[in-house]
Amino acid sequence: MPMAVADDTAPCRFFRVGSPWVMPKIRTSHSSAIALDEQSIIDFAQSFDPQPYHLDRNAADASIFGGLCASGWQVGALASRLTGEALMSAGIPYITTTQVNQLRWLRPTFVDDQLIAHIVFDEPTPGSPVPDCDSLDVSVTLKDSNDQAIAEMTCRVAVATDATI
Amino acid sequence: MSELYLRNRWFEDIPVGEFHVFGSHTFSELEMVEFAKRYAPTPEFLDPEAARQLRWGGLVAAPWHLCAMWMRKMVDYMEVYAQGVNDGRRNGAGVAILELDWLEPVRPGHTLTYTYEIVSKSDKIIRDRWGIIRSRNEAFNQYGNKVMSFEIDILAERDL
Repeated sequence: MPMAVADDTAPCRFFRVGSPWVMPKIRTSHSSAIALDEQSIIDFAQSFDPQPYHLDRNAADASIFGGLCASGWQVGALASRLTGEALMSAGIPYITTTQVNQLRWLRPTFVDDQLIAHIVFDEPTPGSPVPDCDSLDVSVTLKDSNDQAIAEMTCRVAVATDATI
Repeated sequence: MSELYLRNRWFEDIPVGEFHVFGSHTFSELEMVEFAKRYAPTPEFLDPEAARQLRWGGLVAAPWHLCAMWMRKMVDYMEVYAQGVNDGRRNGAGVAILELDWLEPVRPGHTLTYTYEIVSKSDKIIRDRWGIIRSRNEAFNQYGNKVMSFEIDILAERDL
């Protein structure tokens, strides 16, 4: 079972400071799947994006999207969370995202879609707006469980300079 | 009068150069932690105690939280100015975000003020009905420092 957004069970990672990490030879990775159920779509919409197509099934069916779908900002936030997870599973101590050069929504994210981030990353470059970090450019394709793209993102993330997972 | 009908104006009636200061929000520690649980489970954003010993010397808001609040303030603003206007025109979906930068940490108790400016309009007509409006969006903290900026392309219905 993929983790649901509303579980509040996302692992919180602490890194070991003082032992530098090694760049992996393979520059691709992917995250686990996260399921977007109806309640988590509605919860986010009530807090941050209370428009009919994110709140109400009937209104959503008649909307431009054709069905209840997640706020694009919820999708963006999850894209970054899953990008971090994919980097950490490659042994890279991801701290946060500092820039999104482009995020393009390719189709709506509907109820019970499962999101997986597939990433490709470059060499780190020294320095970051985040203290004690370097920068890493990452290309992300957010896909559903049928391998269809939901969104594409290119971003710059901060990775701890002197820490291991 | 340019604030009127923000939500329901036709593509043709939205002028390039229009500028709005459309909302403010003070971020609490509780809501920062709640957001981080689901969307940014990193100790710097999630754990006030642990964050004191970490790189910002205290809890900071997850970057996408600032964007999510931008959306909330925009929806609230649109609702206010759309009151009494219901002639069938619809607001459209977002297409893409460009050049999104998070520039400074936002800590509990910080107040952000959000602004946007219409920077361009595309001549393309999408699905026989929609045009694309590009706006530049910025958020400033209570010290007047810019903490976030981005551009966004949004569909607006054409008067065809």
